Amino acid sequence: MTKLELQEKLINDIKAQFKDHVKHAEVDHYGMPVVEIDPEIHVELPAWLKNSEEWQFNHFTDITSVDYLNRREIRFEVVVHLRSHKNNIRIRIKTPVGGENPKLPTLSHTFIGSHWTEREVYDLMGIEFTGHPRMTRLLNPDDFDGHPLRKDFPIKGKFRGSFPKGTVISNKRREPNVAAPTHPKPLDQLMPRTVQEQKREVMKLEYERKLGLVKDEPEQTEAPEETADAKEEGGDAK
Amino acid sequence: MLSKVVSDAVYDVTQGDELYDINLGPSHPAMHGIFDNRVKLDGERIAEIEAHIGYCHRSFEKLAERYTYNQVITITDRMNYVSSMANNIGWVMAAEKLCGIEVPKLVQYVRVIIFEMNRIIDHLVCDGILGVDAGAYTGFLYFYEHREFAYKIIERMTGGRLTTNFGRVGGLERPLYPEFKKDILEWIKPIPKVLQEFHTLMSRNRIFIERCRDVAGISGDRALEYGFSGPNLRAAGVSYDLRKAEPYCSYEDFDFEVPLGSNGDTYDRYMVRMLEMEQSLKIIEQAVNNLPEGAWHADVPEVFLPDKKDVYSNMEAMIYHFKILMHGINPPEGEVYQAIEAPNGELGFFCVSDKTATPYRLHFRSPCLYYYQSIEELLRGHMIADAVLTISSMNMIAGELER
Repeated sequence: MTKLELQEKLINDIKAQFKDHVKHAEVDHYGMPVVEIDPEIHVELPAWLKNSEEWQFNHFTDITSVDYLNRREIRFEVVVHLRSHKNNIRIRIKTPVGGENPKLPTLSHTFIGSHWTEREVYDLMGIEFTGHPRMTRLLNPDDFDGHPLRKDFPIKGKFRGSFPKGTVISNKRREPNVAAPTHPKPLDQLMPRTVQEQKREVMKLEYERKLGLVKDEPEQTEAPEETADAKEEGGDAK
Repeated sequence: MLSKVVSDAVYDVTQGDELYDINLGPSHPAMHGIFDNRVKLDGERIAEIEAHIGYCHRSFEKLAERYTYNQVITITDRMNYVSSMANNIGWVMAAEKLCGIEVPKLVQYVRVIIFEMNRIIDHLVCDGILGVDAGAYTGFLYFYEHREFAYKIIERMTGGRLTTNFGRVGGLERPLYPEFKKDILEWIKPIPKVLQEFHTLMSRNRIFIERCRDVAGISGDRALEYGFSGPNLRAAGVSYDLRKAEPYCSYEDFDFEVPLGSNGDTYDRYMVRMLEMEQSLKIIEQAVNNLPEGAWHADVPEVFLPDKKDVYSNMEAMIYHFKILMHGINPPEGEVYQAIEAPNGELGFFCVSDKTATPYRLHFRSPCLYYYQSIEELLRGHMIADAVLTISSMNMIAGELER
């Protein structure tokens, strides 16, 4: 099967799977399959492409956005590039999104690689991704005003000339974005262990057992005994 | 392994234990560039690491919307400044794909030489600096002599050293200088010996191995999900090289191999880079020896600036000169994604054209961004000293990371 046939088969598969949600799908004349979809399947389509046995689009390539101010009805477009390592083909998925505060569900639970790139899109274009673990600005400072890649953002910045005396640019206090602790367990259980450490732990446990510091039977061993008792009781009852 | 013995202190959230906070950056002698890492330490182990970027952000994507297609080349210089020529040509190729231009064989071969030359320079710097971070300064200085020779060639070729601004849409910036072939062959001649010397210095060095092996390893599947590419992905055992997967610039003419690692750890990343340099030398040798004759730019007068001599004597040349400088190149409407195997990984250009002289939207897909977001996961549980080695083994370059 040639590359073009494979790409056309991919387009047909997507159309068959997501019917009405696919607005437009074709292989463009630069040889890239392009799919335009509804925002409803913004997460479902990449997840399906990734998990499908045949296609396996498991290589996350890129996520970015374009602003079509005064050119299209729906102002923004989020563009996702994925690549299938198995088939060695790429796909471009375009999702139009509009409104005052454009919002889309996040892809970062499907592809961890979109974690920072979605933050970049939010920072530069102002498209918010709901369900993202840390939806903050990536490149600009947290108290930055506006989203620079929008077409209505002036290229020379919002301030021209020198500031008058005593101007305060921002009063917002920059709060540290400290992520919540990600580990419910004590940290020493999460850390990778070397062979020496594992050996040392076993030796330590044996030594403590010898001294009688550790009770030999952990709680888990009690469970089967109980069931055994229960069975016996049941037997008696019969 | 000595470097991996845990300290006795054990961190327990429920007991109300506190961690030791340290700021590894934004300006830190151990960081190569402006990286802000807020690290929480449990003894000498990293309990949590939070990376912040943006101190070197210069808004290239916004700037590019006001630059003509040839002016954008100057922006790409400043992305990965260690191998700026590869970036130049990557962008030029994207613009050519948009316009539908096919360049002559000579141009393609010269571009291959440039790519591989920059790959060697980039890898020399990366592996050299990795040695410095591990405490071995010798290799770095030993390498730099040959890097300097390469920069002399680049200087003669382009007139610049770091910001080369080489390549125009439709061909090269200028014809090659007469001794180009001789210089390149002279340059690559001692490098295999240098690499061998470096292998004996570092690759089997017990201290170096113990500092690097099993540090910040990543599995192939996870690396793909993160969007890894280039040597860092190959170190994880995934055979993905754009030169083989989507051959461009007639890479299919050359005979070379793609070295692979297995663990995706610091040592594998180092080793893949070392082996890749040998392959690059092989490609350069083939390209120089088979350098075809021909024109140094495509025959596209509406895109490629005419010779300055012709502008004053030839009417058509003068008209095209005026048209290109005043109205720019006007590619057809469309969207294009062009990716090249830059020394650091897959460097992609996503360009939306609206038939005007400037790109409507231009997005740079820089490989570094995808590596850097993974360190929060990769470094958790390792020593603080490993963080420095990991970041330099991934060849993190602030200019490319933040654009």
